[in-house]
Amino acid sequence: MQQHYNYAFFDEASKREIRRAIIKGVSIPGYQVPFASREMPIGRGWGTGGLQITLSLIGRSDVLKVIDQGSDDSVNAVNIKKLVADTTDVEVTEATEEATLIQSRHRIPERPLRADQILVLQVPTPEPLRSFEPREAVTRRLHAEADYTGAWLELFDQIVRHGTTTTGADHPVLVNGRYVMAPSPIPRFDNLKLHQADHLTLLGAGREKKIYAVPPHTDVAPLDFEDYPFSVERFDGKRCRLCGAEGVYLDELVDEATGETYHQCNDTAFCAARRAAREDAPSEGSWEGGRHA
Amino acid sequence: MIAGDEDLHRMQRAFRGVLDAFARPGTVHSVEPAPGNPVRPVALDASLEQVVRLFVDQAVTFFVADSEADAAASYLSSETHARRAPLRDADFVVVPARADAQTAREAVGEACRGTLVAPEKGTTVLMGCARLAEVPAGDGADEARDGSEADEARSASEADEAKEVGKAEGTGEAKGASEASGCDTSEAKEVGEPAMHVVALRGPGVERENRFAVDRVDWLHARAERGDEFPCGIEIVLVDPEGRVVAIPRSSSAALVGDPSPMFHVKQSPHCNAAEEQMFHVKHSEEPSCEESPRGGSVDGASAGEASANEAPLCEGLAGEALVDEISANGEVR
Repeated sequence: MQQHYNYAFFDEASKREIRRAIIKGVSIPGYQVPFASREMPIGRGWGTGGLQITLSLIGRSDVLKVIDQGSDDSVNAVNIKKLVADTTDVEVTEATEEATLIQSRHRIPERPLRADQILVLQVPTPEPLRSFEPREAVTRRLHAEADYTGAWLELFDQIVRHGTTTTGADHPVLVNGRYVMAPSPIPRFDNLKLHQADHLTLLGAGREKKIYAVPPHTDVAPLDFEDYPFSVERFDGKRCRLCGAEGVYLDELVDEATGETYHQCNDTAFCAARRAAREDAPSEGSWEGGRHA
Repeated sequence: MIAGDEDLHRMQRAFRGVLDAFARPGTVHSVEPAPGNPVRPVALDASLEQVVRLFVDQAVTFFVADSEADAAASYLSSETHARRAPLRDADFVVVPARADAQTAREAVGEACRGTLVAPEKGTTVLMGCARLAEVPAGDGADEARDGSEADEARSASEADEAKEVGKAEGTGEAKGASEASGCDTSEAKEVGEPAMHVVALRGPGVERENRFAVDRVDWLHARAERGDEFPCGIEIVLVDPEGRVVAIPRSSSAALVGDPSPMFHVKQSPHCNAAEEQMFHVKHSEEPSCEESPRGGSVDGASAGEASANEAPLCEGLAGEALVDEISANGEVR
C-alpha cells in the first residue's frame, strides 16, 4: 500500500460527494444522478465512473474482482485492480463467489451474484435517449415527464428497417416502471440478470458524470413490443471449446491456422473454475485464446 | 477535518451499513457511534452524529429540527463546515431523537422534495429515535416467539406490544431508552422502555415485505401526508443510540402494521397537486395503472413497477398520449 495517497486514493470529501450521489441513485432506481466526476489517473472513458464508485465503497473487509468484457486478465481490468490494490490494502480475486465488490465492464458474471455482493458497472453512455436527443437539458426533461416516445420509436424504427431490434448491447430497460435506463453495454443476454436480482448494482459514468443504480429485487424490463418480444443472444448447439459449458454467453473465435470457428466462454473465471473442477482438464488448452474485440 | 486513519475506516464501514440499509429498505443495519466529544450538545447522540458526518460537509446545507436547534446546529457547522439553511431548502434535515412529534412532523412534512427534473435535490432526513429493532420476515411478530435467538424474541415481544399500543404516538423518552437498551434480555419489563410500532415497507429493494420496529412514527404520518409524486420525495434515515440504522427511501411504500387504516405512502394519487411541481405539463404516465389497478390506493413506484411486468402501463400511457400523435398509423405499439 502506497502511503502517500489517502486510503482508496480519494480525499474524504470526494468520497462523501460520491456517496451522496450513490444514496440518491439507490433511492430513485434508474435515475441518473449528476456528480462531480474526479480526474483520475486513468483516462475518462476507461472505467473512471466505475472506479470512482469502487473507491468510495471499498474498505478493509472487501475482496475485489475486476472484469473487462468477461475477462479478469485484460489490460483495463488489470490496471484498475492494480490502482485499487496499491491505494488500499484489499485482497483481489478472480473467483466471482469470493468477491464482495465486483467492478465490471460490459458483463455480469455467469454465476448469479449474492445479496452480500455489490456489482459496479462501468458506463460509457449513461443516457439511453442520447442517440436521438443531443441536448442534456432536453433529455432530463424527457425523463422528468417519462416521455419515452423516442426510445420506443428508435426500436420501432429498427424493426421496420431490419425486421428485428438491432441493439447488440446496451438494450434500454425500464426500471421500476418509471425510468428508462441504459444498462451499460452488457449483452442482451445479461439484461435479465438485473431483474429482481439479489444484489445491488451501481452504475458509474465518469466522462458523463452520472451515477445510477438498480437496487436488489427491483423490476427491470427490457423495452420491447408485444409482437416483437425481447430476446437474448442464443447459442443453440454451441458449447465452450474449453469447458463444454452450454447456455452461457459465448465468444465466437476463429482459429487462424485452420480457418475454423469455435466458441469459448466469455466469462473467463467461470470457465476456469469449471475446468479446475474437472480432473481431466483438456490438454490442448493453453488458456490465453484470442478474444474478439 | 483531516480524517485520521481510524476515522476514515469507521466512515467507510458506516457508509456500507447505510448503503445496505438503502438498498434493502426496512432492514436494520448498524454504524459505530462517533468517538466521544466533550462539546457535543445533548440533543445529538454519537450514532446520529456519525450518520450526519457521513454525508454532511461544506458542499451541502443542513437544518436541525429541535426546540434548542442552535446549539446542535452551531456544533455541526463548526465540525463539518456545512452551512445552515431554512428547513425548506436544506439538503439534509437532522431531527434529534428528543425532538417532539410536532417538530418531527413539521420537519418531515416540509422538507424539500426536489423537482421532477432534479429529484435528487429531495432532502435526506436524518432522524434520531430511541429504539430500532428487527422484525423477522413473514408474518413476523407472532411466528418469532419460539425463535431461539434473543434478538428474535425481543422483536416479537416488541411487535406484540406495538399491536396493543396501537396508534399511540412515539412517547418514548430518548434518555430512558438509551439506558434501557444496553442489555438484550427482558427489556420489555424495564422501566422507560418506549412503546414500539411495527412498520412494513414495500418497494424496490424489498423482496416481499420488510418489517422493523421503531419507537416513533411521527415521521410516517408526516411522510404519508406529503403526497409526493415519485420521483420527487424525501429519504428518511432512522438512527437509534445503539447505532442501528433503517432507511426509508422515497421509492418505498410504508404502512403501520396493526393500524386499521394502513397509511400507505401514496405518491401518484389523483388528487396530487401537480401544479406545485416545477413541471406543469406532467404526463403522469403511471396514472393509467393507478386508476385501473385493482390495488387501488397503494400506488407508488413499487406497485407501478409490479404492474409494468404484466401490462407495461408506461407504454399504454405513452401510446395514449404521445406515440399516437406521431405514429398514428401504428396500432402495434402497446
